[in-house]
Parts: sequence; C-alpha cells; structure tokens
Amino acid sequence: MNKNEIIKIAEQVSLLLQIKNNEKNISTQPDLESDSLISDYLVNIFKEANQCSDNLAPSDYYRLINERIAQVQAQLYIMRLELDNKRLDPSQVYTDPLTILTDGKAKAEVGVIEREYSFEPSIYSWGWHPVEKFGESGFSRWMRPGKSSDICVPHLGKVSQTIEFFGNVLDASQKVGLKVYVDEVEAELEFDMENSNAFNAKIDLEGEVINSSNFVVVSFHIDKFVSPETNDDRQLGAMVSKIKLTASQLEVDKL
Amino acid sequence: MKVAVVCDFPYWELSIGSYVRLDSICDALSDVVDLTVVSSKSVGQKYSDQVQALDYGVVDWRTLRKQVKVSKEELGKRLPGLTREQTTVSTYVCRYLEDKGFDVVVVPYLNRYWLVNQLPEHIVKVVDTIDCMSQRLQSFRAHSLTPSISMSRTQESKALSRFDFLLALSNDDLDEFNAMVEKPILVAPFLIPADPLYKSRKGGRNLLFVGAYSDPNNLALDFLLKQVLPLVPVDVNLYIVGNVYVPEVYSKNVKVHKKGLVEDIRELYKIIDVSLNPTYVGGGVKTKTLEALAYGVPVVCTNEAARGLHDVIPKELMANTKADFACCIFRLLKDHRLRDVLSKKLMMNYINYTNVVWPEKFVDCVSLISNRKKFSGEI
Repeated sequence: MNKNEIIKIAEQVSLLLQIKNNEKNISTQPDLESDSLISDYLVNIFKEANQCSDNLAPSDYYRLINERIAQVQAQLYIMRLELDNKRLDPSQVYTDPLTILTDGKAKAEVGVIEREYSFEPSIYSWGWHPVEKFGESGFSRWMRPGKSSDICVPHLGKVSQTIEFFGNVLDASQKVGLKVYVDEVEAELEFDMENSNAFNAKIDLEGEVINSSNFVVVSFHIDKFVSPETNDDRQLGAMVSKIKLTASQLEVDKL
Repeated sequence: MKVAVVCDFPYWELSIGSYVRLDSICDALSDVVDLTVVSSKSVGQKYSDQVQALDYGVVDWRTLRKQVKVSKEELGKRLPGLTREQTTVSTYVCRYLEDKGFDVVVVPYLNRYWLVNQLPEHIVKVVDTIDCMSQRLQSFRAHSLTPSISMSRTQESKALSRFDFLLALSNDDLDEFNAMVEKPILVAPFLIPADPLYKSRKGGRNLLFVGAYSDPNNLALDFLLKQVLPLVPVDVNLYIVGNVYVPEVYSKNVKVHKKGLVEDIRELYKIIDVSLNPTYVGGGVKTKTLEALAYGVPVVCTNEAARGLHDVIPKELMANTKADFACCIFRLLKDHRLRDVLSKKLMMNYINYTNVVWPEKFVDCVSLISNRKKFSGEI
C-alpha cells in the first residue's frame, strides 16, 4: 500500500469518526460566509509556502488542501490509536500479531510440532566415537566405552512431546544391555522385526523435564562393546543416526 | 569440574538485588561443583568473617594482585573497546583462571563479557543473563522511557552468542532468549527462602509498596496513589519502603507511612495484609513480588509485576486495569478469610517453585560442552 492509498483510507476513517462523534451536535446548515473565508485563508497559506501559484485553478487548491488535511487526519488517527492502546493494559500492545512479528517475537509463540535431525556435529555430546557420514546428508555416531554416552538434545519448547532415537547395535547380543534414560526415566526400546539390530528408543517428555530449559540430556548405557570384523579395532556400542521430536496430539490440536 | 564465578562488584555485601542474586547462584552451584568466586573488588574488614564462612573460596582483588604476576608492559596496554582499568582487571582475572585450570566461568550480565574476553577457547563461558535487555527496552519505549542499557534484539543476540551457555531468570526469559540464539539455556530462578510471616487478622487495612528510586517504580507508585487507591472505598494505610519517589498529593482515603530503607523488611511484612505491585513497565523477575510470595503475603500484581512468576501467583491476585486492581484490593481487605486462603495457596505454589534442581542440569550440559572444547579431536 503506498502513501496516497493510506492517506485515502485514513481520510475516510477520520471522516467517519468525525461524523460519528459530531452527529446531533452540529447544525447541517452550510455556513457559506465562514466557509469562503476559510478557503481564502488556506489558499494564502499554500501561496506563502510557495506550494502553489496564482495560476492554479480552484480545483487544484482544493486538491492541495484536501491532501494536506488528509495527512493531518491520518496522523491524528494514528495518535488516537496509540493513545487508545496506552489506555488499555500495556502488555496487550504485544498481543498484536503485527507488533510481535516485527519484533521477531512470534518465533517463540508459533508452536513447532515436529523436528528431525541426524547426529549433527554441532550437537553437544560426550562418550561417542567421532562423527561419521550417514546416508546422503546425515551423520551418525557410535557409543564408545565409558560410564555412559550422553547427548544434549534441543527440544521443541514447552509442549508435551516425544523424543525418539533411531539407530542400531552392531551385534544382536548387545540388544539386551542397551538402556536409554532422560533423568531417571527409561526409554521404551523397540527393535525392528526386519532388521533385528535396528532400534527405536522412545521417551515422553513432560513437565519439569522440559519446563526449565531448552534442552534435555539423554544418557545411553550398554553393557557390551564389540569390534567390527574388519581392520577397525574400535570398541562399539550402539549407533544413533536420527533424532525425532514430535509434539503430543493434544498440543497439535491446540494449534 | 572447576567453576569460577567472576564479578566486578562486592556481591558479599548483599545490599542490592543483583548481589543477592549472585550469592544465590554461588550457593546453589557450590553444592555440585568445585566453586571459586573471583572479584575485582577487595573484601573489607566488615565482611571478612562472613566471606570466610562461605562454602566456597573467594579470591578478591587483593589476593588476585598477590597471586598473579603481570608485567608493567602488560599493564600499560589497553585492549580495543576496553578502558585501561577494565584491561587491567581482565588481564589479572583471565591469567588467574587459566593458571588455575578452571573449566567453566560464569559471568553475571551479558555486558560483563570483557571480564573474560582474554580467556582461551577451551574454557566454557556461561552468562547469568538476569534481564532480557531488548524486552526491557521494548517495555520502556512503550511508555516513552529509556532504560539504562538500551539494546536491540539483534545487539542482544550478538552479545549472547559469545557465550556457550545461558542461565535465565524465568521461563519467560528463556522463551525470549530461545528466539534469539541457538545455545543451551537453563532457568536458574532467583529464590528467597520461604518464611511464612503473614498473620491473619480481621479488618486489616495495611498495604505495602516496596521500591527503589527508578522510573518504573516511581510511575507505579504514582499510578497507585493517584489512580488506583482513590477507587478503593475504604481508608487504608500504605507502607512505602525504599527511596521511591512519593507524590505529595494523593487521595484522602490513604494514609502514607514512609519507611525509607529498613534494616529488616521481614518485620514489616508481619503487619501487612496485602502487598501491592502495580508495575506496568520493566522486565525481569520483580524482587518485591518474590519477597511477598516467600513471606506468604497476598500480593496484587499486574502482568508485568508477575513476570516469570505467573505459575506461582493465584489468578485471584492478578489485575490489569486500575478498576480491577482497586476491586482486588478491596475484596482482599474486606475478607480476611479470602486472604488466608490465598496466602496458603501462594505459599504452597512458592514452595513448589523453589523445589528446583537446576545445578544438576547445569553440570550435565556444561560438562558436555567442556569436554567438546577440551577434547575436540576425540568427540
């Protein structure tokens, strides 16, 4: 919307407001004498400001006057809106979605319902072997021997959500000893029927776990490490290649 | 894990909110990590015993000067963007932290980065944000005021991104910061020990407003005295604590008791029926709201006054127009049973609120960051 269009709208709004406010208070009879004097006076102002010359037709004067009045009315209208907002609860100013958007604050308001990523190098973690390429653009990591293998996962925010880890163990004998925890809550582990070494660890996150931080630290434990059959002498636990966070259905319904 | 908290003020004096805040952070952290506080101020005789009795070590300026060797040439330097004094302090502090092998350093306020800007990359830098500066600026601007630190969201985001880990005062602040930076953020609430001082009495008329001299407090008290209390249809006593500006003209139904700075505010809370916080501009968690909650005194709040504490304050105590505020005060004054119920409710909420375990979460995440930095080849 350009400046002229805004002026036109503001002019209409202002006129409507004036009519509404002044109805019954002002006589509808034209006051021809004062009207003509006012017009002369306004024309003089434009002349003094060098915005028009004597050669202009009366219609041009009126166009200039109308434009200037419309600008003033638009400014008054905006001031009025600002004052109206100030009279209300000040915090309500920020509930205006436009204000929120211009501040970039909406980012926090708009609920994210799902996020998925591989074991990116940027994720803080400890107790894992170095990052490896996984698939075309993903990354994965193997647990290495130690007390536990930990990963700091950024969560979806203050919504009930489920976090899932996808990966696999090297040898089927490792499945029994694999445990995944958030605080003291143990994840539900499922192994793939087709690829028996692939697993999915699922934990529901609620309340205190997610309420006071934007991350959760997840611990992986395994009681058996094995070496691959090739020349690789690393001791490997389980491998994680994908992390998926999903808001609970209740939260999705709210959005 | 060796953690240092670094500051450029004598927090042990506990004379203002930010000193008390730092003290509470140190208390909480000392339970789970090997903690040392390094300050660029010296501990005076008056506070010497108090500092000695702490559960962690305090290295003050005097000790720092004795233990760290800095050449005259180094002292003559001035780092870009810092004053000569800041450069000197930063040099001593950073040299000490590096020599003693600290893993993590915590700095109060994001504008104190200069204290640790000479530290090597492998030391984890944590900021206790205390306030969200850009949110505060927005709030001030909406009322044509200027805060002492003016920082846009972009500037704040840039300043925050220099740190590895953020501590936020409340969930509200966590949301603000989460939209600005992709860093781990943990809420470390500001806590005052719960101490139920509220006493139930019929026909109570004692109200309380606490505030130091500042634009938000001056405006709030002016609003309260000139626009809210005249609407309360009974005579009231308003106790005012702190050096907030008190208007000379106000409604006849109010008897003002100016208490100024008091030695122990808890004595006053024992005779208060309703505490008031009509603040409508500012940011951060308000100490006066927190105090009333900790002492079990019903506190009538605006949204701004309840910032970060919305889960703790019963809905019945929230008011966001002057008519609601006045109604709420009157309702509480005429019904002591309602006050008793709300006092119990907010006390229970507050005790739940204080039952947090942030230091453990802090250690869990910060140790991952520290290991990543120290052993980047092995991760």
